[in-house]
Amino acid sequence: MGTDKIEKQTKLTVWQRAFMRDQDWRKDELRTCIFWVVAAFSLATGFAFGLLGLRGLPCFIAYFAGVVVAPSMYWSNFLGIDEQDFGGKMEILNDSIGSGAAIFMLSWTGMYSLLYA
Amino acid sequence: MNDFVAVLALSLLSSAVSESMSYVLVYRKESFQRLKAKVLQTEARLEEEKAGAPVAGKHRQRRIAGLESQLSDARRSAGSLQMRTTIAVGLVQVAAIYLIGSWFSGRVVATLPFEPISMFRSLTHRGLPEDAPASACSATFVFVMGGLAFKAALDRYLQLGLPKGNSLPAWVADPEAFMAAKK
Repeated sequence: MGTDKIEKQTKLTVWQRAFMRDQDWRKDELRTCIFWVVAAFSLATGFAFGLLGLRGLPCFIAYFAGVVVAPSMYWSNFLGIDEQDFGGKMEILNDSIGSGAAIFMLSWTGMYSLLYA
Repeated sequence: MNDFVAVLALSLLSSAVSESMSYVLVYRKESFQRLKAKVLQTEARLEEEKAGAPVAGKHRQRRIAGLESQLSDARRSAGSLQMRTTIAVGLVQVAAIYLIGSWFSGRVVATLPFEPISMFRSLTHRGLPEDAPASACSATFVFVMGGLAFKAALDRYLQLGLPKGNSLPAWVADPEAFMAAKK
């Protein structure tokens, strides 16, 4: 009974573990965490580009490079995860990039239209 | 800007309605809940087996193969249940896009910070006059982008459907393990 109580107390949520190093992750939990990391990155990047009035193809290139590099640095350097244990970089990022790109375009377009149109 | 926010809000509403329809038609049903529990259980057992010793003996390989087969059967059955919502949700989305197109016809809701290539211009300029500037953005484009973003976010947040499985085939994700299993 005492061990069960200790186990319940130490069972952390995905959100809690996202801010802690060297935790155990299941594949679906990691993909959920990375989905929200990509969404936040896309929103922030879109707002920043719109605020600065940046235009054109270089912004797309910078975004798509960043959306692969930034989350992978987060999971390898901070979470301490070996991506090969989860099927590789694209297996983890695969279902986040489409919606991330949509969020980026909306935030970039919205901010740009608000300030420069 | 008001139009842009209005279209985004309608996109969120449309995604919420689609998700609610999926819940009412499929997700709340006992048959789906049973299949979902089976998928979660089998995935957990499969991860435990694969996390064992680096080189899998024959018995463990057979157990892994058995679990993978159970998992794909459960996913296939749940997928056929989910087909019911696909058609209904598709019709709702088509109707919504048609309504957005007619309500905001001829109105530029935003200015794109890029010039779209010709392939996307039919979407970004839908319902706009032909002399509209290249960077003019139609309500349809904002609605479609919003739908992509909100549907995925709602799906992830509510987690009503099946957990996402492996999207890449085994021979791409881990070719060495695939070849070892074949021997």
